[in-house]
Amino acid sequence: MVSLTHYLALGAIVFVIGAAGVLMRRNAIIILMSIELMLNSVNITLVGFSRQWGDMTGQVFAIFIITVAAAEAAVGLAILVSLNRDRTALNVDEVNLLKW
Amino acid sequence: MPLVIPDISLSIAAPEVGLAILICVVVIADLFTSMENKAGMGVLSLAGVAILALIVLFQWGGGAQTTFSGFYIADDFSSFVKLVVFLTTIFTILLSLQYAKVEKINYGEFYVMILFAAFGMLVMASGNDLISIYLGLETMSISSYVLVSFIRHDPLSREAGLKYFLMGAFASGILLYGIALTYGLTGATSLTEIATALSGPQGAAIADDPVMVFSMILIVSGFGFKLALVPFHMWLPDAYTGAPTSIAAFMSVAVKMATVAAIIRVFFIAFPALAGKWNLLFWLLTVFTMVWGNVAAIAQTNLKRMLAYSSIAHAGYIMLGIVATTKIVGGKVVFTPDGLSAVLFYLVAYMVTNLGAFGMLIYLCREDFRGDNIEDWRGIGQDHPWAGMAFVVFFLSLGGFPPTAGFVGKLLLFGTAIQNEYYWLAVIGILTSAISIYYYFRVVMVMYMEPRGESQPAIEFSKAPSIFVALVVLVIATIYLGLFPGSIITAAKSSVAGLL
Repeated sequence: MVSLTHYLALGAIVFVIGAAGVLMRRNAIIILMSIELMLNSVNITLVGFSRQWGDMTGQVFAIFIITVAAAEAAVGLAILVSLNRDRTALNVDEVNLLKW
Repeated sequence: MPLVIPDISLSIAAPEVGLAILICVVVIADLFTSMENKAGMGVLSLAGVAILALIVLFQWGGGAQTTFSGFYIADDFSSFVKLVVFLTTIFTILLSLQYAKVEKINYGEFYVMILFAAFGMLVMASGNDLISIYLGLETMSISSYVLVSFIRHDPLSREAGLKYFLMGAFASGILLYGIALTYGLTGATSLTEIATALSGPQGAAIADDPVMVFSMILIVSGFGFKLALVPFHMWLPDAYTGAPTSIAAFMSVAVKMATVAAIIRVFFIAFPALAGKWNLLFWLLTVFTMVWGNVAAIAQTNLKRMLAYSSIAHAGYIMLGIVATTKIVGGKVVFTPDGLSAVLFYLVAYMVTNLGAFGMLIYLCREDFRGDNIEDWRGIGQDHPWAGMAFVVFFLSLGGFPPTAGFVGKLLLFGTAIQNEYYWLAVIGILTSAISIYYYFRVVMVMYMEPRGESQPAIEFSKAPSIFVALVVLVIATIYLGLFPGSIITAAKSSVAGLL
């Protein structure tokens, strides 16, 4: 029997993996993927709660988040492509023209 | 189950609907415009936004009305915010018309993206549900990522775009997880329903639940990232330095305005039951932001970056007003609307001042000379006394001197803080304002005291009438609001009266 706790635990674990990926990985594409993991963990959590409450709001919200994540990925990849024109690697440590 | 079509009244959402139509018109008109005439798209957007601002004025005083099944609310508070957003958009476009040619970013999409960002801000101001606030926030943020990295041929702009994008998307993830947990505990995303759940029979138990507190911390952090409160501010100086100057001006004012509006709605409408906890969190963030924003600005040699740190500091003053709205009476937290009306007035004062300060940078900018270093302004006070005076007025207002708008704004904020017994907050605010005078007046000193170097290019201000008109209006508005702040304060007071 898969209960709400399982969904919440899965969501929390995926969220932590995503957040750790953003903070620890240095490749911009992998950071982008980690952010997507975070958004998907939110979706899992929302859908789990939605089932628990017997209320569709959470599922509708999850669909909105998927849409926004697609738009975000499109803009993010476009910025990465434009950045990649004069650089071969996408290591964020090399993106260092601006610092105080 | 019968399918019920909800009652949707589009006239309540007239500014948003009108802006959506305007965006479509500009996108289509852009296809039939030659590359030389792209500024026409700016003029078209300008005219459209001016008409929409009149529609918002027309809606003023209409009372609170909801539509889209409670997703959307139009009241005086949202109208006030929308007017500021529209005015900022108008000034941004005025400042951009010629500047876009200088930076070779004179595309129709530039204006379309500004309008899309403004659309997101309107939705945030009118959001009555965590879903609609989130969608408005993302519309605004995604358009801002594009705008920041718009100078594709400039590595600085691309880098700023990447940093802003990664931090912004990360912040959205954190905010969303907080929203998901709140939904799990209260079973609602509507602001009023969350408040009902938190004040109901089970309310006290939910409000004290550690998961609820955790989710509130996540939401505070998510909004803190968007508002660039210390310690969530790392992206802002880079983003503003690399972004086109008119976009830095736009973001420093309009993005802050919309985010503050969303924070006010979420925390005062949905989470009053947790006010004792979030006001402590905001207290800490406010102190960090005021101190670090002002201290870090001292070390800057780039004027755009200095203004970026100064805008972090000003976000701290705005948050001071939000903290000062809460008052602890006999162990219970009550809200006093004076703090919020001070916040709204401060945002208007900050709008005219900061748009003017960034506008001066655009005024000096030309194709072979960006003029955003402090030393680029040497000798300008002697050679161009009027331009020098205009910049001094903006710096006086940023530093909080009479007779400018910034002085009245700070007076109201610190006054409310003292009235509601936040003495430490007021003391730290006044001390950090004193620090800010040092770095603002260093620029004034460079302008008036230091002669222009032999190797420095001659001063040649932009000849575009649009920039000149915008700057003259902003200077007059900065002084006018300092001398006669009454009407705006009354409007701010009446707009928050229906909110709390």
